[in-house]
Amino acid sequence: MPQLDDYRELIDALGPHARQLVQASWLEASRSFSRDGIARYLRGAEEIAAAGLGWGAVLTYLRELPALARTVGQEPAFKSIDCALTVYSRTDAATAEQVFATLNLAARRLGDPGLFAAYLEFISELAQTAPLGISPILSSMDQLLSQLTFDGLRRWALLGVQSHMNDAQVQARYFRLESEEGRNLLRSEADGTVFADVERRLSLYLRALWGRGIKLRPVVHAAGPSAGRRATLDGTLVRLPQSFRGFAGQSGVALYRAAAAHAAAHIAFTGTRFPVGQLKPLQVALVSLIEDARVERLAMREFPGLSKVWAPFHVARPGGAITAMSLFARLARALIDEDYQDDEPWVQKARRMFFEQRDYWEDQSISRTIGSLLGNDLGQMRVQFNFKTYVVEPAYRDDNFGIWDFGDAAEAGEDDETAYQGARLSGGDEGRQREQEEEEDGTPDGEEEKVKLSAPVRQKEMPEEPLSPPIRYDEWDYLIGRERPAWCTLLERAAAEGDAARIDQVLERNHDLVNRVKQLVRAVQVQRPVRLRKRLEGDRLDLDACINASIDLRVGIPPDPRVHAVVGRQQRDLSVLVLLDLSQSTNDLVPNAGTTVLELAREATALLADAMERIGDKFAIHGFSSNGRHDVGYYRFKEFDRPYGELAKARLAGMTGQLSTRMGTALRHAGYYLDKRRAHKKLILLVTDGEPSDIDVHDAQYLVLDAKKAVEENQRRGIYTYCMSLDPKADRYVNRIFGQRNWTVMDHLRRLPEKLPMLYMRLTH
Amino acid sequence: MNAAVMDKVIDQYRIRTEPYYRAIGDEVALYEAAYAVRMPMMLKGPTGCGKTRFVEYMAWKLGKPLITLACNEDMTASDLVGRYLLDADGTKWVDGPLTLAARFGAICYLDEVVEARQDTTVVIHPLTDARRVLPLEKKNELVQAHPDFQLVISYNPGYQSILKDLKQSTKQRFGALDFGYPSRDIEIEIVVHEAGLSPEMAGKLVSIAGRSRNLKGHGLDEGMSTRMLIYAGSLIAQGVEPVSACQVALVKPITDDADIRDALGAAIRACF
Ligand SMILES: Nc1ncnc2c1ncn2[C@@H]1O[C@H](COP(=O)(O)OP(=O)(O)O)[C@@H](O)[C@H]1O
Ligand SMILES: [Mg+2]
Repeated sequence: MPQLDDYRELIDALGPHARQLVQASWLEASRSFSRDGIARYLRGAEEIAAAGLGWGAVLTYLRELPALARTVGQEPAFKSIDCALTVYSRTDAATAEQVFATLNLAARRLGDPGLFAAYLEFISELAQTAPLGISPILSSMDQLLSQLTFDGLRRWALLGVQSHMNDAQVQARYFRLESEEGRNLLRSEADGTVFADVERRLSLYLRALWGRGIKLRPVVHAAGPSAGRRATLDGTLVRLPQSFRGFAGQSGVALYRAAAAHAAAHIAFTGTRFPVGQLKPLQVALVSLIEDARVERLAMREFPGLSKVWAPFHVARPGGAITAMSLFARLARALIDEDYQDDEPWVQKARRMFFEQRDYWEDQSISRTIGSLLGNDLGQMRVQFNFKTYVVEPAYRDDNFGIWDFGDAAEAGEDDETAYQGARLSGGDEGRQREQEEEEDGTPDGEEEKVKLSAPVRQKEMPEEPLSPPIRYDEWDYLIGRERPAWCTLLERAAAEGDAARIDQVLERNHDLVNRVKQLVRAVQVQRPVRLRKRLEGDRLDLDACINASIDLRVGIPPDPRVHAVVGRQQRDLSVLVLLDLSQSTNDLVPNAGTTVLELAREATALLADAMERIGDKFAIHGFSSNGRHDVGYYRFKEFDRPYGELAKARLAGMTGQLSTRMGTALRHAGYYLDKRRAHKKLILLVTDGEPSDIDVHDAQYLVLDAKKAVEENQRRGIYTYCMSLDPKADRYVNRIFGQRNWTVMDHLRRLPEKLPMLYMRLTH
Repeated sequence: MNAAVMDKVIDQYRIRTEPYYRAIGDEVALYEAAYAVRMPMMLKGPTGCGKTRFVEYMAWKLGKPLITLACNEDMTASDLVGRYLLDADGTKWVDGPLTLAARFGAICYLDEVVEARQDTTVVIHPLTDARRVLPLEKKNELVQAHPDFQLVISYNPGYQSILKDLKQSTKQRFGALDFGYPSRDIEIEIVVHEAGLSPEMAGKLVSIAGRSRNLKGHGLDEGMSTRMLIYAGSLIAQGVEPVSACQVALVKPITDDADIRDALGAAIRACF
């Protein structure tokens, strides 16, 4: 057993308090660590003290770590030091101490070294994205991990980060489980499905069905039972609840799918909004119900299998009390489920009316006619209806506000008006949130992918000094059909340096991805020259094979004709210039990712550079941002023929976004560098988040066509340009600039780090 | 080599029964005109859309032998033009498929020509200009192409590898026909014919292909091809349950992305 005395020096260095603690708990420590482990354990304490975390943290560390090492093993246990130091760098000593204090609890709950390591990473990441949330989330960690899996925890935290990016106080209450929302989402996370999990596959699903992009966005729900959550339509944008629990024996995913498919059916078949006009709330609800059935029927004509998506949620049965709610649910079922039997005359009549019109379902006015007639009938039956408490059933159907035009509701009767308003407000936070988001978006139609938080482009002076004398480039003016000579001035500037370690951390964080890329790389890697024997032909003879062949010849049997050898050298003779758009807009936050476009581009570039380095391809990484035609800034982060080392990484880490995007000039300059290369294939891989633009150009076509020209000029010199666009609306112009197939649009920005290296591998496969 | 041997060698490349080909536009007439002047042809289009079948049909219609070669990365120029082999009496020259076609007047179809390395594909150049010759350097012979000889290549423009594009100087030696996926009704007809399905079921498969083609550029590089539909159809005709048949023949081959598989699976269920 290791003796205390053997470590006298290390222990003395810790000071009196720590010494006491170590002495008192020596037995435990010596049983928890190996010999080297103990030294590491003691040095760790020193490290923590030296970093300035204070004695509280040091003592907590010394107290907690032995038990932790026994639960998860030494190595994962020591990783907690880095985690606490990261947290400390973003918060304070007390929070870092809290990290140590909760380690054992987390380890016990997670019960697996791998998960525990992931947990530490998660805390470190959270410290980056939401430092003020760390202390609150740690204080509820016991409760959280008692209900959630690790994945669940991560998702729940991400929802909190995303939803309250701008309000640290609300976020803290969410993490401390003091807010209703935090608790609700915890509950649904514990047994439901959340939007973020299904978003991508649902939007692909809708695109596959309808051949167009239908945007899906989450709605954050306020307090209240999850049973009342509904999707809502907003033009061609569909908002889905952030979490859905399955109903009627169906999973949450099935409910999400049904909701998405229903909303898409509205988008496809509810051509215009219904004006409310003089309709009573009861009639509005019924017209909506008929309209729901109409669009579903039409969708099922094209895709009969959709009935299986929707039908399981229709569980109403005949009989029971006659209330508006029960009648509505039964009618909804009667219109969708042909086998459903209901002897209630009102339901039968409605069903008859609806199916008599089957040849006219294309005409949306039938919904209005049938709905208002049915409303009158119900009125005469004296069935009570309260629009304020009404929720659409089944749960996959949207709240139907999106199909109404309430414009002249004010002119309707007093009661009605309040009824509608009441109903809208009962949507509670959703309504408010919608408005708020629209303000941020600046585009009420919700087409915009990015949430603009940054101020409009400020035309400040660029701080960096130019590196090169000004270089002038022509610019193409499509209006006059020729070049404007020496129109733009390009200035190369020194790239600011950041902390190179950040780039390596990106690789560590994404090590799964790095491994996947590694495997792909192995497939394309330059092979060392090897002599391939026994070939049909080659540049030299394979002596052994020749001897055998001559023997065969003498014996008179047909010889093996493979008597040559070749030196195999499968060279990839390729020069790649990665050109990054560093304009102001790259500072925008990416929704659902808790980070900026620039950050994602940085990560993606780091991963790509790693891949190119492994393959052995020659590459450079440059960037640009412009401030009018007299000032196109150009940065070289990594140059051809220079190693991809500390300096290049530091520059990548120091990369910032500002100003505008004069793409053509930058492409010409990149072309200049590639033209000098002696390579068989030359490629510019442009990563950009928007269309070309600059402060002194107001004609949107102008820079687009100039960029196109630059691409063509490069092409003529044997330089191929490929664009990875991060702008979801890019289809409009990228095709024009880069030509068919020479571009990809990222639909989900947060997948950029994963996609960029993959794209590169595919392009150069 | 005497004429009788020649005929025997080339005879095996003749197409005796009419291949089923459903014309999509005026490609048959255009091709005949191109053949009349022996213009080298490039058939462009995604994989599995009927290019190979088309050449077979044209060769049959024109009554010419067809020599087809699927190109690949490891192919060398000798694989095209031929090489010396050793035999009991010393060495013997053996013509490659391209030489064979040029000597005997066949149509030579190089399938997926981009797969071959560029230093390999340049050997076709002298055959594609006015000289119509093929130099056999090793043998020190200049083969003058037979009057019936024609060169046809296929090329998939959706192929996203800059390392594997055709040289501009190669492309410009060919006339080109564009092949795309056929229109709905024609595609149904083809699937019905090839897989032996009911038009109704074939219609569903074609709708499913439409769903996947909607995802081109949004996670899929290429939609489902007619060939894949025929595979799925053949499974269904064998009695395999349609949704599983589609999983096996359509979804799983086309992507490994879990979200896209899920989306396609759900879209397929929506079509049945
Ligand atoms: N126009 C067509 N007429 C007849 N069969 C077709 C047609 N298009 C596609 N096919 C069917 O699709 C299959 C694949 O086509 P193929 O010619 O091999 O494709 P490609 O050469 O373009 O990759 C063929 O075997 C055939 O069954
Ligand atoms: Mg609806």
